[in-house]
Amino acid sequence: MWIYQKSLQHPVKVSGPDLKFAKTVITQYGGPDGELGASLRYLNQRYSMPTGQAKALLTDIGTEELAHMEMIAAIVYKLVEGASPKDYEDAGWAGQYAQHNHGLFWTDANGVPWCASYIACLGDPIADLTENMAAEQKARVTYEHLIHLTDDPCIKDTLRFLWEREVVHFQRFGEMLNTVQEHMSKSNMWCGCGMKK
Amino acid sequence: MNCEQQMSMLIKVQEMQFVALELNLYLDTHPCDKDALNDFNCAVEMLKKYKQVYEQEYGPLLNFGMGGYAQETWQWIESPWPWEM
Amino acid sequence: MKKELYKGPKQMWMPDGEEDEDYGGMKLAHSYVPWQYYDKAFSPQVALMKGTLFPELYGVYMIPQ
Repeated sequence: MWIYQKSLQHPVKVSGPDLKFAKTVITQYGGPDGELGASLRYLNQRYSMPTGQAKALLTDIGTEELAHMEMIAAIVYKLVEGASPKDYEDAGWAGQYAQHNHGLFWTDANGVPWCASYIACLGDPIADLTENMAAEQKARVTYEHLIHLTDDPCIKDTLRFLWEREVVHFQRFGEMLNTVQEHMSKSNMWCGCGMKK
Repeated sequence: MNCEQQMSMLIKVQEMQFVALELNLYLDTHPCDKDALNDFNCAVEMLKKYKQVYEQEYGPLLNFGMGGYAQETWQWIESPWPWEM
Repeated sequence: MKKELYKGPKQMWMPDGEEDEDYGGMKLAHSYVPWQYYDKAFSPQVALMKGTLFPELYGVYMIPQ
């Protein structure tokens, strides 16, 4: 089960309102390579992992991704604080105000709502861990794009923290893949079924 | 400003929490690394201390009974919440 | 040094110890990352700022500006 800690993992600060960037950065809230997808992917895959180590890692990284989702929410929250309907309109984000006012919602940078098709669970540890490594790379690259799209040094700092977390997660999933592959070849297991030579 | 003092106390918790989290992930893939285990325990010790100092001033960081005994008022509902800080 | 390019069915699943060592214990069509071994650590302040405790995991990709 989950317990919530009443603090962000890393502080979030913005220099001033910026609805255009809010509209863009929200892709890491509800977009294809964002933190919601990451956390649901890992928390769901853990049920079909073969070892305690893999179950632990997927639980832990999946939980950390929820904390990252919260940080993105905090960025958006601060960027839209005090914004008027006209501010939304000027930023090309009138649809967001119409549908959500100052509320948040899971969409990508083009307003496309989050979709479970962004994630997979094949129930095969090698396929799933490989998908996770790809996901971490895509998230890393997306953070690079977002860092390039803002001039706000405070936001850049926060996004760089999240960028580095993707690098570390990639390493951990890779190590888990090493381990799981060794485990599966030792026990001659393939997709949970014993193999006869 | 009160919020600034709160943030300067919270950052110590965040820093030590991060060390513990990083070592947690490392230990998931390196469960036999004795150095990492020891450093994790050091981080836990420091984290406990920083959490206690923060919570004494600003109320519980955890809910559902994980934050210890309640004081005379139900502090969990107090602001600021993390995205407001 | 020339190797048989064809491996018959009986060589497909080999128990430990009988494996072809030519790939250093690694298998074709499998991916691996190098193991990280923890030695030094950033201070907690620097670690939180940079996003990792481990100097060897910082700078492996160019830090975006």
